[in-house]
Amino acid sequence: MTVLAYVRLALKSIIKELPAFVIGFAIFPIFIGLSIGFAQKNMFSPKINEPLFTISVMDEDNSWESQELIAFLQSEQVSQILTVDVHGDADYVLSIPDGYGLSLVGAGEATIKVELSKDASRRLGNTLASIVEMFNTEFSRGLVREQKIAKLQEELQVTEVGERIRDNLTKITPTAALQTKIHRVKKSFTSTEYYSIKFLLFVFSMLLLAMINAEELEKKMGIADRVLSTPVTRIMLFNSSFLSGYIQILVCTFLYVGAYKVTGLSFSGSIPLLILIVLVQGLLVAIISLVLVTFFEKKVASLLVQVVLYFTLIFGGLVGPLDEWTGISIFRLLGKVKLDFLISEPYHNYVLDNSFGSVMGPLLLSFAVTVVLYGLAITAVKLGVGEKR
Amino acid sequence: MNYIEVKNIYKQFDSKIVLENISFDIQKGDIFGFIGPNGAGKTTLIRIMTGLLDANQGSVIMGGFEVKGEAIKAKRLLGLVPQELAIIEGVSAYDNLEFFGALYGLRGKNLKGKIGEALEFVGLTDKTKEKVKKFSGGMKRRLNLAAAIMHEPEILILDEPTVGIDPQSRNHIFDFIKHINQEKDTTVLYTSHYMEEVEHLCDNIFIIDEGKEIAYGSKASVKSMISNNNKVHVQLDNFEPSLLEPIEALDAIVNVSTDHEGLHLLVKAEEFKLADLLKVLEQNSAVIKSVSVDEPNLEEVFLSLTGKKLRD
Repeated sequence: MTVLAYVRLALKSIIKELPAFVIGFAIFPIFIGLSIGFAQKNMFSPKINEPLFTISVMDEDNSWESQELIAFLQSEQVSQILTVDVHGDADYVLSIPDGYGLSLVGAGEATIKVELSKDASRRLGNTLASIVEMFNTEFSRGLVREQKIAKLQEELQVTEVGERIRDNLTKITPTAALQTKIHRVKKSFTSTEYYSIKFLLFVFSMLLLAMINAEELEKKMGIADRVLSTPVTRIMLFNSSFLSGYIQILVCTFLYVGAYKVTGLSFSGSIPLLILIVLVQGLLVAIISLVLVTFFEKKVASLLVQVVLYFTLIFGGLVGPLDEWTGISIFRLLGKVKLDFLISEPYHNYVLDNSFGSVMGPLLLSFAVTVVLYGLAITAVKLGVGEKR
Repeated sequence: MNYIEVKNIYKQFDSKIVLENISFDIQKGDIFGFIGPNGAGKTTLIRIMTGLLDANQGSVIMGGFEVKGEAIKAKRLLGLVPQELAIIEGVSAYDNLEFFGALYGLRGKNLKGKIGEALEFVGLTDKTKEKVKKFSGGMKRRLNLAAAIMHEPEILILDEPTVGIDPQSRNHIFDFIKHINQEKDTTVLYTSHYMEEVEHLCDNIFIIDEGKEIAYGSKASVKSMISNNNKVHVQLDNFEPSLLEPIEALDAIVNVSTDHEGLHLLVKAEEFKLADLLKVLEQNSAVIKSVSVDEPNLEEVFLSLTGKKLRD
């Protein structure tokens, strides 16, 4: 009955405040996300079907291996992301030095250079470099494999079987290994997708602060005492608070992701998968709020939430890549600290890959953390932690 | 029959002793006054009685159940009206009562019926669907009360229920307490720092100050701790000094004095009969303008026993 009473009250409170919820969790975040997204759209790759950039190739080696590389770059797979421009008016210039072919079998060193034109993106330049690097690795492996197979054929002297093995192994081409890379490059975020995920932390932080305040207010107003003067135990109260908080978080999150989805700005993948993410992530946020109010006073709990929020806002890329703007390396280091990892990663993978496999790992991690935090908090409640507050 | 037993409650917060061996009993159907100044320890004792706080020593038994060991059973008998307005402001009066009623195990038609009764009882029927945040202070107090009585508790604990409300709402609450006590035989523990409220409502009282018992017993016995005498004031149109002699001759008279306002008598409370005095005045042709009898009030008791005023 206690749980039902709390659920009913939570739903009634939400219904009575629904216009405020819609403004706060659907309209306002989209407005801000669109504004910042528009201002920073040049920092994101456009979502297009055309190749993303052009390259020209200067082949000083002119070997069979260098020709293979050029052929690879012109292959159907790779041409989804780049075009080899023979006229030399390209975003990037790829210089294949003399001795490149020999370097692939370990006979000497020769490094391919990628030169950027004035307006070219450094990020896409890195993508080009990594494609070439991947080709080199796979090509070298292929060469080694061929040598081993030839040796095996000689030893076994079973030509037919050896041929079959060789055929199978050589089917593993560099382009197959590049599928994932191409997919990731092609499926990079639009600015609104990026900010729809970044703003989730903001939304959850606001929810956490609201829940911490509500909990404090309940204590100050004597509502918690009144509830505990009824035939209700502290554990029942904790679980009921958890459930009502969870419902509130679900409603707010569904409003948020739903608004982005309906407008087509983000979260455009599978609906059941999105629902699964919201359901699991909601548990995590709900338990974080209860852990904060169980272990800390309101001031400390609010401060912790704000520190995480502002840290992520400043260093996590919401206000732009500080390291690139300022050139200060400490920002690069701090930018690698992902305090919102558990919150944003499932949504991040969902938007990029829209596959159960890609979100399963982060979701399981979220769930495991939720279970651990729940265990900690319920033990603390049993031990009477925070009763004096 | 002792329905509530508070035995040797001792509570200490860090080094501060908040309650020092507090003991009292409350009979079934009694309205018991628990009075003391702000910070005396009243709310701490209520928190212990309702299972919200553990005492360092002592025990509380309510309706035969020890609060510490059989908390849920004891709390089923209980309705608490906290000092704070412990109601949810963002929803309606109905939603509040629906929530608190469900916590007491009420459901379905029974719950709806009890909500209606409670709202009618506190005079808020016409405000059923209105959001509580729009209510006046007095209305919120009444709703605070309704939330505690809707499940018809056998024991009702009211912690300073009249703080900050208008006289009309205060009278409404007094009427309500008397009604629920008489009609449903509810045992009431009423705490306040307003002595006149407790004098008006309660038969038995406990006075506490700085966590210690100051006085405990029936209202009359507590008052008798400072004096067994009452004061009688008589205003006359035609005072004659010859009146003094027959009045002083009455058995119950302790002392007689006069001034421009009339006669002032100190009388033995238990022996004094007003009819005897009036008879003497009539026999001596005195024209009476007014007669008043002053008992010592609880404020005077507190002042006398602690050397300070209750609201200091």
